[in-house]
Amino acid sequence: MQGSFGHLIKQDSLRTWWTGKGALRSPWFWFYTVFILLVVVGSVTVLSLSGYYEPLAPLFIAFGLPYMAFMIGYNLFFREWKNGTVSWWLTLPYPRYRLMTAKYLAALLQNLLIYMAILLATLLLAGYSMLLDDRYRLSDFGAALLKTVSWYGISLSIVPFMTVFGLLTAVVMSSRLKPLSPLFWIGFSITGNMATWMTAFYTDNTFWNQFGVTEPGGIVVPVWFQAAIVPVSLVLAALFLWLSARIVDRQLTM
Amino acid sequence: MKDVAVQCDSLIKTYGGKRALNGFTLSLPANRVTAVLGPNGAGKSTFFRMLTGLTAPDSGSVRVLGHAPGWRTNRQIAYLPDRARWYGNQTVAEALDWGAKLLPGFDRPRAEQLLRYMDLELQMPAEGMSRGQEARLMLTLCIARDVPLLVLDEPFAGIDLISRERIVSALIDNMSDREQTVLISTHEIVETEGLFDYAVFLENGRVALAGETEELRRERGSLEMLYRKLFG
Repeated sequence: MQGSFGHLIKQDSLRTWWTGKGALRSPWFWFYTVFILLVVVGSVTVLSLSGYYEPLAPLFIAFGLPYMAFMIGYNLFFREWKNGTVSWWLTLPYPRYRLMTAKYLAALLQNLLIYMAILLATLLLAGYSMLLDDRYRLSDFGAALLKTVSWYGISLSIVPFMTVFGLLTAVVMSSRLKPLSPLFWIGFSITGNMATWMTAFYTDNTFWNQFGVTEPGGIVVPVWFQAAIVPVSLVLAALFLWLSARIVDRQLTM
Repeated sequence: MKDVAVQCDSLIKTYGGKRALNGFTLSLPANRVTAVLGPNGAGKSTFFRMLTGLTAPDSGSVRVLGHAPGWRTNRQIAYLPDRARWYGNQTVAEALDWGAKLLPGFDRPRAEQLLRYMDLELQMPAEGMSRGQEARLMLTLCIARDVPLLVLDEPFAGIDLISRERIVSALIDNMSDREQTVLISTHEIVETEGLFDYAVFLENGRVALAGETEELRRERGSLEMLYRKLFG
């Protein structure tokens, strides 16, 4: 049917955040968001004015984002079971590969949006702290921008894979292959940390300098590695997506 | 039997050592309203899930509308799953959009007409609906489809009397409008008996008895009495 694929993606994408039990509808979500913002901005202000704040410290968040990508993929599939809607979804008159691809793209879209929001917040916070701290000049913001984009770029490169890995893990958990699920969780703990492995292996002995705005070095992962990881991530994503659809088609316990 | 809507031969399906279907063989006539009756665990839901490709038999064969079940045949089947819930993040209007965008044969004007009958409003959110309201919404999505086969798995389970009456009336109304094969599994035999013109009784994953309701009643009394005799 015309527009069905787009509707499947829409069904699972951003609107889930502000409809039904979506987080954005909860007053507690906004309470904690404002509370955390006040604490973060207050701390950054005090620390920057006294010269103790490192503007790129929030780049550590980039390490955790692949884990988040996995969980978003995992939840999108698992939610159908948890909410009792799985039979509606699986009896839709579309091939399982199409249903799974729509879920995958919806999860990817959510991940991209979160990445953009966190990247923007990191830069705003870095710029704000550099304005308050007289150790920095305007030109230093350019260096900070470059390091931030590089870090998030590396982290983002494995997101296509991590998202589908989460989806596949949820599928395996709901299928006759469930006994294999511990292997998937071990895989999750290793691959989620891939951004750290990639940078740690290739950095010199001043790994932590990468978080210093004015420190030399920055991202020292070789360009060829950075370039290779994107196609590898995409190829693995396609393979895992195919595998997910196959398992949904033949191995679900219903 | 003239036209056959569903044909099952020697179906076996096992879940963790228990046989849900055990040599299940059945032919169901097309364009009739069939009751699929039996105690809990008799295999009714497994049979319905097989018709929609949700689960596959370990052995045996199933044909639905002349084809093996799968996503292609689901274009022609409106299915109300057992113990299903509706998407909590949708309003009734969004549920109809969902049907119109994703379900072939979905007749939106008819769905809106049915909503009035089911006492539901377009702006109502699914989240917070009573069990009866949610069941009426899901049934609306099914019977608003112009498809050859309608499969309703326990459409009255856990639903109050008024909602049940509305659903039964909507079904009767729907059947008078269309040529459609309808399969309904239910435990509310007394209230729904008048709907059926064919009945299948299942026990332990097998067909215990099947036939035209008129004949069954003539030979053995009401469907309820027959049910009590078979399973009591």
